Amino acid sequence: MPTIVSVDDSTVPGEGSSRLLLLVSSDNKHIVVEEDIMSRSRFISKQVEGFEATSQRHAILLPFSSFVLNKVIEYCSHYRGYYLLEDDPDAAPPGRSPVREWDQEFLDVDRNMLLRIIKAAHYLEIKSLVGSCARAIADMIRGKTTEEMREILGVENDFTPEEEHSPSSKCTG
Amino acid sequence: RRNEHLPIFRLPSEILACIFAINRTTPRIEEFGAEHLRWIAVTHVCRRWRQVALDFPDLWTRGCFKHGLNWTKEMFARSKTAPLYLEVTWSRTAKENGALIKAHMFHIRTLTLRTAISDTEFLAQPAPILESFVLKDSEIPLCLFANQAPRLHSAKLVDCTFSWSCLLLLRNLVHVSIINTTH
Repeated sequence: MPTIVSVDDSTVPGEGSSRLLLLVSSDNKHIVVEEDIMSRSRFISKQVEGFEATSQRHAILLPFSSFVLNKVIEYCSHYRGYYLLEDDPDAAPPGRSPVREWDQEFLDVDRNMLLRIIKAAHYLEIKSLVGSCARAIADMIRGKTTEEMREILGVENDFTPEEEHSPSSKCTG
Repeated sequence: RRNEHLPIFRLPSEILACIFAINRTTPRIEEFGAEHLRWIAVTHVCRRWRQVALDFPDLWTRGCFKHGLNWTKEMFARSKTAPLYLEVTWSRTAKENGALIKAHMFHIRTLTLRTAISDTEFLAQPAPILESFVLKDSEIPLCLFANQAPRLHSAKLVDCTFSWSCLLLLRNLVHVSIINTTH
């Protein structure tokens, strides 16, 4: 659960047509963003609904760095006002359709950053971004052998020799 | 232990399963070859990945009998009670295959049987979630799906012998295609 703290009005810039939210990253950076931009995040939307019961302004503390948070805000800003089917609560899980062109460029980051973005998107419940990241990661390992996947992701083989050579594992995947 | 510190290991299980599912292809039976099982290599990478794949029944719901009865049994077991999508062609062990389908009929959503079947009694089993059914060159049992297939809306029968009454009792059928290629 996020920690929600009351903040002084002076920490939030003046109000425009869209309400302003204060997001606080794990490295304690305060980022002010229009509510409209973050409405793609179901997590943020739910938080904002909770705010409406009180007249206080709030900050939302998030468990990832400002670097990652800014990337997520960049994504949400790009698609501000767009309807993306994947963000529908009833949408099917992401399939093998290609990653959108803009998303491809946006996700052209190193592997660790990609993993941080997908984790943040999952936390913020932005299904379309989770889907694009998942497709990008799936692309990295598609058609690869077990050894190649271990090498790409730096994963160690932690099976015991018995587990690795068990007949059931060999026959049935 | 080193694995536990990797970013990929800190991903929630449902995201990992989602990544695996994207790479799992769902080809038609004619195209179903060994390369379509390559995604299963993820289950050999490390213990966590294996466990994640085994814990997500939806990963194991699309199949055929082309890779043998043992594999199919294992796949059905891993699918637990998730809806199954089967497209089947078989020849030699039809009886055992039929028994396996019968045992799992309660969670089969689509069933396509593409080869002649001598004993279709396994189809006289209630099919509570079946939506689509295709049968070829076979005799349909009088009591198809025990007259209990409330969601079945589409049936395609190719070169089959059947009694009309067995279809009339399946009241929710919207689309029936009957094809006779012998004339």
